[in-house]
Amino acid sequence: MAADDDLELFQRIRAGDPLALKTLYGRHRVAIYRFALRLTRSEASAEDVVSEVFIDVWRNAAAFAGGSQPKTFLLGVARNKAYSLLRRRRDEELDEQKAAEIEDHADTPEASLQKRNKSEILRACLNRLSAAHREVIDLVYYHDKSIEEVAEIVGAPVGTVKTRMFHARKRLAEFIADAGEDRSWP
Amino acid sequence: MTAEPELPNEIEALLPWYATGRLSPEDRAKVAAALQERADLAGQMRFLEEVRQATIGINEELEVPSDAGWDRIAAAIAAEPRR
Repeated sequence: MAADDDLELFQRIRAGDPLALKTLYGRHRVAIYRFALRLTRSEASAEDVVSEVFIDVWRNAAAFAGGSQPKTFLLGVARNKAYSLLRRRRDEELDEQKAAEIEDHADTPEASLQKRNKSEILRACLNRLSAAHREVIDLVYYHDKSIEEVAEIVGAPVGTVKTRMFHARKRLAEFIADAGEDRSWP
Repeated sequence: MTAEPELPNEIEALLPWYATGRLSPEDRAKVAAALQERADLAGQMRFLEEVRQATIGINEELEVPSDAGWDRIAAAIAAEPRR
């Protein structure tokens, strides 16, 4: 099983085996990069996050206690790195909570309406969501994470994760309605 | 006056994970039973399936990290003290 293999890699990394780190990197670099890219919306920042994550793993492999899946642990580290980069990039007063709540109005559903394509409208609306809402949807549907794993990655209680996911899909439905799509939900 | 944020009921909150098969057996059984009883949940499930497909599509179309990525990491760890 991949997770078991990853656990063995962490043991080898703790012992100072760079080949094990390279293998772990090869296995997870795309997922970590895409997760970071969705949060930071910057390819350069996402590259930095990937590097920082695996350098951190090398330096602090002992911090991974093995109580969770290695990929879940890596995504949690990546999230912290991504928000640190965002904090540096944005106004000093803008805290993580506020940054996470900002919705993107650059690609509006109105613009997408020109495309007359339901699927593209849905994608445009997904991209408009705040980082906090986007990340929970990505973690559930792209990274295939359980409620408990999402809670570990975002550092929030399980109940908060369920509520955040509910509000994310509700907000998404509102964006879709704004775009003129006929939706009966919620 | 600010409206209270709406909270999901238990079953609605679990629906996204029902579709991905990432619920505990107990929660899975609860959702399966509710889907039999409540016709409105089927519409929510259809919507969530569209969201799932779109999310996968968005992510799969993203670039992959550059080949130079490992070189940066290798250089950084080479500069670390041996252990």
